[in-house]
Amino acid sequence: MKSKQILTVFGFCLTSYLAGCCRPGLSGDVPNTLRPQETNNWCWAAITQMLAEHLSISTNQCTLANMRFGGQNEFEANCCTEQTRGTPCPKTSDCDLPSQLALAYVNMTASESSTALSWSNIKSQIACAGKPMAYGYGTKGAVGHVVIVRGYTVIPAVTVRGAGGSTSYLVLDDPAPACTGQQRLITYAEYVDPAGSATHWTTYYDIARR
Amino acid sequence: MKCALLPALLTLALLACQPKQQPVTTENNKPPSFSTAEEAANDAKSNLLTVLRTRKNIHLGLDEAAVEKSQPGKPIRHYQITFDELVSADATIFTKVRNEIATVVPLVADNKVVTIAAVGNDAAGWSVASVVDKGISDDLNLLRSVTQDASQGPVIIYDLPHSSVRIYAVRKGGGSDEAGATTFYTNYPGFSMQDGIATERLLPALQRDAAEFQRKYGDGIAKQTLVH
Repeated sequence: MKSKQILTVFGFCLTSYLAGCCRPGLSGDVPNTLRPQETNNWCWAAITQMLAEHLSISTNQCTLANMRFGGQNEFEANCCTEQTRGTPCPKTSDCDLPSQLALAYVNMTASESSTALSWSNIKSQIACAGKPMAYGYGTKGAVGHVVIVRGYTVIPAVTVRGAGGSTSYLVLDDPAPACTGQQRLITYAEYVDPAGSATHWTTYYDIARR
Repeated sequence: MKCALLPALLTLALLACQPKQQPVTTENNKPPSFSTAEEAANDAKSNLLTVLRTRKNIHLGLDEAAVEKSQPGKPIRHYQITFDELVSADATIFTKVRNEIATVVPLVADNKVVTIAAVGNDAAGWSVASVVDKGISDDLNLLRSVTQDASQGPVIIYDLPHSSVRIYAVRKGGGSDEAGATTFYTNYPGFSMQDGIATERLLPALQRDAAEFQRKYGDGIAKQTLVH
């Protein structure tokens, strides 16, 4: 009995030790299947779908839109109707509307931060916890945009022509443009404080099943 | 034996469970600054080539040779129009929009936009904000073919407050700021990037839709929770 207890304590602490040992490298990446948004305005649905799929929760964008725009009965709306018959994307313009992430609807939770996560926390989420994040940004007085943060990378300076050295980038899975989506890069500085009038709105991190 | 093992394991465990200090890094999170937007775009190109050559897990959908051959084109100013600006605007709105976001520098090879770099400007100078935007690259290529003039006048990009569809303004011959000298191109519902349109046709459609949107979703706009 005592041996079992000892082994349990030892096992727990070994796990903690190994977790504490996680030292992210110059690049990190979380497997994520890019889901292009299925109308011009469904970034919120595409991001919900991608985060849910990371936790093996199956959903699709038009079901989320039906839920969001169809009132209590999700079958009231026709958001799964194709705009052109036989072409799965885009979906009907009847439901082509902006909204918010629908994490609770797919039984997920996430921590939310209205300020940017530190570079260490970004690396920890990606390389240690193995979790993608969502990042919403925009200008006050207009509808914003949300993307998946799936990785990071540091590019060392080849020649120092400017005031700094290396550049830290976040790797994004962007559901826009509609029906194609794209992977793109933003600097960590842009994530913290976007250029011009845009600002960081929300980072959704530590995603989990509810 | 067991009695001796227990304290030893607990001591080891306690030591092991001490939180690790974050490793000290020398990573500089502020990108290098430059004196011009084109120089910052060249830095973005250099970074992009490093990614294409060495980060094979990042799939940007770009041809490395085309990126290498590309050169920064004319910087394009990029503005975000707000609901307040649009709904109460007259025909001069496009000369009065105040919310500027990152400047777009097309990376051009063989008269084609290969990709874009977005660059920001602050007291330290110009620096890279982002790299790659297929939506803008595709639109700029279409614009070049529609206007059939590689040396066209200045282009300005406008983001709408209620729609993710962009508006591209082309000022003929790089003339004055007068809206009358400007032609607009967009795939906004009811219009096509193939056809240049005047402010007088475009603005009423935008204002009608924005006002309707604001009436329905004003709360979400104020709380900065609506995304598209």
